[in-house]
Amino acid sequence: MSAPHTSPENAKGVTGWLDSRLPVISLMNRSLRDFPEPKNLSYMWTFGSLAGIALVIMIVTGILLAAQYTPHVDHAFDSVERIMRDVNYGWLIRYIHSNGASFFFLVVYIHMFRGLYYGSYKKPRELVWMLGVLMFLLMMATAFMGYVLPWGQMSFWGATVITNLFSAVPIVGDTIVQWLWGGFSIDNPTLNRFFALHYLFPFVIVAVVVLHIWALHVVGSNNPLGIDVKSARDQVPFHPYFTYRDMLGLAVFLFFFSLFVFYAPNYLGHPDNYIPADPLVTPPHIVPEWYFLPFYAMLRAITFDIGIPFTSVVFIDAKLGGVLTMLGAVLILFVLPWLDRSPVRSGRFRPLFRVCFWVFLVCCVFLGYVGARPADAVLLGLPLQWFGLLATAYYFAFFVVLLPFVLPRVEKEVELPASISEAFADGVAKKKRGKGAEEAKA
Amino acid sequence: MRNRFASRASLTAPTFAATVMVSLTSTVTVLTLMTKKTATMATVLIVVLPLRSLQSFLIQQRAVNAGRTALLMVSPTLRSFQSFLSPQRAVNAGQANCLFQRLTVKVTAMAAVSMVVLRAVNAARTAFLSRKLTATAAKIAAVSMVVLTVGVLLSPDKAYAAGEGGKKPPRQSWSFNGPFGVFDKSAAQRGLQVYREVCAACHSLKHVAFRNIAALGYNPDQVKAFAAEYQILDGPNDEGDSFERPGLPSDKFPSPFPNDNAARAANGGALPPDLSLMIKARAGGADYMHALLTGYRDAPAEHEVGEGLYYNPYYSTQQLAMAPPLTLDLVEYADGTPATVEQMSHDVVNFLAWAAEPEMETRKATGLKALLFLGALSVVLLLATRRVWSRVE
Repeated sequence: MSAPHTSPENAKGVTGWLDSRLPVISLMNRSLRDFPEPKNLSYMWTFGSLAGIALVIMIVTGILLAAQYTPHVDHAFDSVERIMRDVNYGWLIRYIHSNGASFFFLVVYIHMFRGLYYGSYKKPRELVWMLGVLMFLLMMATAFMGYVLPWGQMSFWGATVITNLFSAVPIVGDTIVQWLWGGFSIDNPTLNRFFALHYLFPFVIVAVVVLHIWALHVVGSNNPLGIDVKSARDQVPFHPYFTYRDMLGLAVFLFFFSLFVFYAPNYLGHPDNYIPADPLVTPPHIVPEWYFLPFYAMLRAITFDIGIPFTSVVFIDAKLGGVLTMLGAVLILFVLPWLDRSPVRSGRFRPLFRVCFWVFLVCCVFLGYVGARPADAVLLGLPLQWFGLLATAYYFAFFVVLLPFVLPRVEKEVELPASISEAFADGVAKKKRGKGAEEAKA
Repeated sequence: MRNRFASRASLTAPTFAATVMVSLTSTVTVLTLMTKKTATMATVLIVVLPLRSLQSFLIQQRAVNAGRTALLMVSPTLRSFQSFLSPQRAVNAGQANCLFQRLTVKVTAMAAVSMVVLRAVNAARTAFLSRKLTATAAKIAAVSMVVLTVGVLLSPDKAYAAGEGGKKPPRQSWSFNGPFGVFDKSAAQRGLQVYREVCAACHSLKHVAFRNIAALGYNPDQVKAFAAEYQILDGPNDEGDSFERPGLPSDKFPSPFPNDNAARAANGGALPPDLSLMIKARAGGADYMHALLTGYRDAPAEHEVGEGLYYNPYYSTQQLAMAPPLTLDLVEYADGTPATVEQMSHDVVNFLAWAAEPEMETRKATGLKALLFLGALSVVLLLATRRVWSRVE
């Protein structure tokens, strides 16, 4: 952020008085009105702002819910039912909050895959990307703890499975688990602390969002061509071009969001979570929410110990292996900017990367499918877990083999366009020509 | 997987999933590859078709096919496709054979998915000849989406067939299904009678208050009289004693047992679950409940039924501790409806569906307004955005 500059038009009056003392007006002006964006941004660049709005929706509905919710094992389930039945529009607020989590993850996943495809994590945007990964981790923790709060069967048993993962840590594992639980089993202290943290984390995310946007506004947005902005002709101001476009994105987003909130509010949930938590009855399948399924599949894909073959020496047992794999799948994203060695950002000009990317995407979706199926499921006569392991292997190979070692050696990049404005003008001209040809035909 | 994809709206779930996938895929594709053609298509998808289906729906009469209307709002493409393929079916689907119906829906859904996706890809390709790369990417995305959709479509059946849990409950045509679904109040009133005279002997309904039944069409006096027929344990009074008093509309339905242990002790160790949320708390929802209540039969020879348990193919373990609860003429309906097992089950499921989601009618009505508004807003913003961007050279 450069030194506060006071432009002539807001130097006068109340805003001028305020702005010369605390330059919030010029800050807003600079970052939301005049901020220059590459003019060739596609609609894939809408999902960042959507994620921000989803976060606001979650915080607002969350605060309203917290005003009515009771974080106690004896009352949590009933207090949620009271919200659904007796609080004015409580059902609406709760359904927005519960489906909002899914849609938040959906837009964040699209946002992340967009960043991956167009190389938005590359120099000079490494920090923007890393802050994003940090937010993703915080989101996962928040979503997990939030799912525990209604204290249904899936809440309880999901919490049991996930917190038990920490027991895989050598030596201190069991101590960590007891510390998380606040006792020797999941009980009231667990619910209390999860509620406290579930309320805290979103505000931590807000802080990271501020850093994320700050860092982004220092280096500027990437674009579908992945080439640097070379002159002012490559850019258009944020308002009105992107304010309009983001509003359009929001309206379409809310349309699909409403389909779920009003017509299938429990479709993304699990019926078992309408059964009060019972520590004595284990549900037949414990499945996490859909947005965790790929990671859950990775956790379950590791069914073997790692040690010296043909001896009983085990370095990493299957459980720890699974936990490390799942954790590694997220943590590896932090170092992605240094794993990808290609100087070309956009996948559009990287024919081989593009293929690897789409396979990667399909693998992630497939892992989601594997995570949703029972552990003993079968595909084409073979255990589904094997395919899960295969997809997991590709997930990691993409980052540690393909990006740093294979692609730089074998890929021949397509020639990059000279500038954003030229490519954009070409596009506009082609569109016009196409229209002219259509009209001539008619 | 079974539970995930077979939630309350169980049997419309695959079609619903397909529809949402189609809509999302086409929107994402349209958004990515915005051209005149694709924009028109998006507009048609979002606005014109729902209006059309709304219109034809109003002509068709609500009662003909409440179940099928689920498709009308959420899957305009599907619906028009379906009526195109077999117009009679679209009208008569309520009575049609379930299996064949599901098959038709699946095939049309898949056809619709492929067609919409292919159209989007084609439009993108012709409009962006110079940008072959984008088109290829879109094609791959489209293909993977289709694969995913097919996977989603096939999964619930497979999960049921895998034998985890009970037999798949047949699909019923409930008045509360679909985007315009409403509760059948007379059935729910009869269902209340069944709950009260039969189920309430063992099952609580603790989240529902007497005042709530006004929603089933009872006037305030009737609600008061209904509540007063119950004795409610209250207290402590000024002497510190518990006492019984007639129920008030503000009281919840009293539970048959003072606590879970008492309930278990009276039921051979099995705990009769609370019924307030039952329809939402089981995969298959209302269809499952109806199938379970009417599904008791003699166990097949090879099936060994445990001591004190009863065979029922729809139950997750095929045998449960609840004895067949309904028998012919078990209740005498006030409105003279013959009390067959089928009828009583149908009525009590209607009642429980209301008890589980009393907000359902408001929710769906609000949703319609929200969707119409957001659809219109999207179109206006689309036009405005295009106008603003047309200035950029």
